Amino acid sequence: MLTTLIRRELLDNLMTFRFAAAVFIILLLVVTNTVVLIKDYEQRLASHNAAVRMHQRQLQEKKTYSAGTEKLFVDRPPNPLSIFNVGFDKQLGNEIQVSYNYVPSLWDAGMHGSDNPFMDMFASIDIVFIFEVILSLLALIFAYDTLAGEYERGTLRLVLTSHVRRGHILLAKYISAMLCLLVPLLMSLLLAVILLTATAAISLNTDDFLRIGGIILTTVVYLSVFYLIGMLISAATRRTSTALMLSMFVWGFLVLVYPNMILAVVPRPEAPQERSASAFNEIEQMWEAFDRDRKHFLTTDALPGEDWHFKIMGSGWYGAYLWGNPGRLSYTYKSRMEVDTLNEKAEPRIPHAQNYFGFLGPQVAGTADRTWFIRKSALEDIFIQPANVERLYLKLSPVGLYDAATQAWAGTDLLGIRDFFDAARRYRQHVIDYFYDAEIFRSRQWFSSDKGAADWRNLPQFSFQRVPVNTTAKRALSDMCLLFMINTALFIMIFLIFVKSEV
Amino acid sequence: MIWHIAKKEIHHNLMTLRFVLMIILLPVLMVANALIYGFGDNGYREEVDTYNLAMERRLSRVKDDAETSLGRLAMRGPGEIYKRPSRFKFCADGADELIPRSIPISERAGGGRGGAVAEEYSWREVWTLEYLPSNHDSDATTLIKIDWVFIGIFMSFFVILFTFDAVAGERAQGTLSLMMSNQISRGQTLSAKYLGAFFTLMVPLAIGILMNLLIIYLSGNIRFDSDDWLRILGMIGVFALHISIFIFLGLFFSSRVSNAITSLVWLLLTWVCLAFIFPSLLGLFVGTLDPIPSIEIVSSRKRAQLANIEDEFRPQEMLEVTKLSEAPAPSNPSATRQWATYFTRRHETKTRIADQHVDQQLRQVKLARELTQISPIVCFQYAMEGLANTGIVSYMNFVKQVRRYRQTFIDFIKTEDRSDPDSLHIYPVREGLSQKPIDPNTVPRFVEHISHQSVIFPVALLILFNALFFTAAQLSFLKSDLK
Repeated sequence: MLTTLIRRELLDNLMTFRFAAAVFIILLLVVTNTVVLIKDYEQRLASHNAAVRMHQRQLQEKKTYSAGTEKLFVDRPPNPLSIFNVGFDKQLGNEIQVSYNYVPSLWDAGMHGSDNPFMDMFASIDIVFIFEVILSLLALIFAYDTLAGEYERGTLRLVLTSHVRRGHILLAKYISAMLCLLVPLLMSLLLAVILLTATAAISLNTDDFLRIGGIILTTVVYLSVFYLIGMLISAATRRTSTALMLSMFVWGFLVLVYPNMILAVVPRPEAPQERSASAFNEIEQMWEAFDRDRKHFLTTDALPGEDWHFKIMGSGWYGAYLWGNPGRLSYTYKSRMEVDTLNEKAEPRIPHAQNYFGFLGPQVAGTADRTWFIRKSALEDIFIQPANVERLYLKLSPVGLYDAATQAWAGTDLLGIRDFFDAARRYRQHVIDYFYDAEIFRSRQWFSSDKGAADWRNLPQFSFQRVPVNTTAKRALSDMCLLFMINTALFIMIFLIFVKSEV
Repeated sequence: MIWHIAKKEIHHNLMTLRFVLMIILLPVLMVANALIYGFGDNGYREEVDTYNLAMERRLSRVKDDAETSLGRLAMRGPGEIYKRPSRFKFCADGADELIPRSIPISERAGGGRGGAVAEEYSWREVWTLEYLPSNHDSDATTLIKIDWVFIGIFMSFFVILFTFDAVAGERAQGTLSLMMSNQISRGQTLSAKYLGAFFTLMVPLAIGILMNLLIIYLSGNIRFDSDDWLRILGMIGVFALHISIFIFLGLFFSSRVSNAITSLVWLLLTWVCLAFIFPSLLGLFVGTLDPIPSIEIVSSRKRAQLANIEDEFRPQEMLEVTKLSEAPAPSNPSATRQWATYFTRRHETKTRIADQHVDQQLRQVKLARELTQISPIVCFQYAMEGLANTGIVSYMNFVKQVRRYRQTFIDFIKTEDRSDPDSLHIYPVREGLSQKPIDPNTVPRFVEHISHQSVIFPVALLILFNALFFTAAQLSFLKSDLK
């Protein structure tokens, strides 16, 4: 009986104009949008490649290691799945300096790639946005008369005269409508994936396809929420005109008003000034302690005086200073020496300089590591926690949950972006290990290229792999579970209203 | 007769659920807007305070320089030039958080290079404008703000809900043929339906706007003068044109199709495309269609051209005599002229590259804006931004005015310098200009003039869209069946 009901409902839905319109418009928009987004991705990728080349060139140009560490950058490649949900992929920094003297984080990242920052004011839309706005609207249009229409026409009474359970009627209506909504969704996504795979610049692996599968699954659950909202309104109002108006109102509120208004209405949590000041103070003190040790080393070494450059300059550049930025809680000791030629008189001082830099490098790296623990926890408290609170408010709407879950699947959420910075920190450790192993800090090339320039060929190479799909799934799971729960709650409510209603 | 039917339509509309929902939601949005912008953290008052502080700093710097010497003022320039914050950000935010608030000036100074005779000379290069790529202080998480433009876009959604069944619904109920049996033309019927919907929609809007302005007025943060009230009236007029377009669009689809729900589906899809898809898609499309050189390429081009000038005037090889071997001094006009040529060449190169690059960026944005104006919703947004003096066009005007001011300032320096007989009259070298102080009050001040020219085109397009959709609705209704 259930199959018969589903078939009947399916035929009913497939023959409607709204179904034809849904298929046509979704296909048109998704395909057009994918073409434009692929072009945009290719531009971003070209810009990324140009930045990588530029950074490599700049590094190669540096003849001493101490100068080179200021030019060692790693670049975050654009995420091909940002075509589905752009998330933070374009918004957050995509280049970061990797140096022994500070631990890189999201807050230190720079941006490259936007040739025209003014164009950012044309909000970029992605495929998920189309589903979020248009398919949810269509789901409500499919649902508003599903029960109210039958009440009005009197066909419900007719159906109930047969031995059909009310639960089966609901289920049949739900399954058939969802199948109809799946048609434009799957067709458009299939075309989008074909376009993606046909693009030379994009190569998708199995994990990526699984991630796309996750996005499809989340979209189905999201659409189901809107269909059930429409069905609930339809069951509760029992009049198509009222159901339609209420459905449109609910859609407008959930999709347009709430996500845009909530962040403006809810006051932003005040940045904990005291926390920031105390953390910076602590970091500053650690660096000052380091500086005292450094000066102590200089005063107690074999050469008199506190000159850190040992008066060995012939021609070139040098500089060393403590540098801090209270806003970002960053603090470090920068020391650079780029000597091309040395005075002959300076030769006896070279071993002292090597000894000093051999002491200094590990000290700086160690202090940077120790201060990172304080900085990391403070940055989490100051920036991440308030952002998480704001995200929680957004998640009070299914739109927010859907957006967060698809961002997690695509790897364009905050955690996905932070994976890159975790990789940058691991890379920094590899570089420091290499410096220790090859005794770079202690080498003459650390500060002078008079007897040969720094050799960058053996430097460890940076590579960034996105986290495995199971980690992505775990990140998306909580939001998906909430969407499932909303589905279940809505279905139970509809069932209760429908079972208790008189026909 | 038209008024009779229009009144009937208004009465009918007032009794509907959609009117109730709109009369709740619209004032709520307007009140939220007033609270956010009137009392919010980054309201107009804070922006004005920051602006005033920056202006004070700038004027005090100009005063100090002018009281020291004309030469110093000429080299250090007029300081960072700030854009006056708009009172009407609550009406049209115009992605204001992405737009730079000021145009700083770049200054470069240093000592002589080793080996040159002028080793000890501490030089200062003449100031140049330095355009910021975006507002660095911005922590904007979303571009969509609850301003009047957003409320207008949301309202066009409600207009659709009011008009989708205006003809199709009557046709389905059979009341349309009944009405047509009277001595009334189809044109009159359509006009009456239009007027009915228009006045019904303007009521909640008027209530919302009144509440909004009242709260903003009571907050005391934003004070309006008579010119501002005219601008508000202009914005209400733009609102009316915008609403009117969607009424005609609704009537067109409603009379075109036999089923009200088909009309609604068409209207909603059209609306979503006009409100979200076209503006974003076309904006993104222009970026790929008309690429401009990247910031890195422009910077390296600038570095290369400046390096050429350096090579010509101050070669890296430590030659005994270079073009800048002698330091400029009032007693050494020929050396001063060499330095002037050097500074002028550098200044011209930097200015040309910076101006060209920002022009290219702004031209790309302009092209994207022109393309996106195929959507009446975008026209509405641009017209509102034009009246509010926000958005990228206001920045474009600001850039133009700052460039004019740059020339005015330089002309002033040269004129003042000519009046000093002791000066060498060699610009732009400190030693070649008058060393006497000048009255700070005579230094030209930057005054930003607000231009509403950018409003004309989108408003004309809005009127055109009205005419187009009115004709389409008329033709569609005239040709439609009554049953």
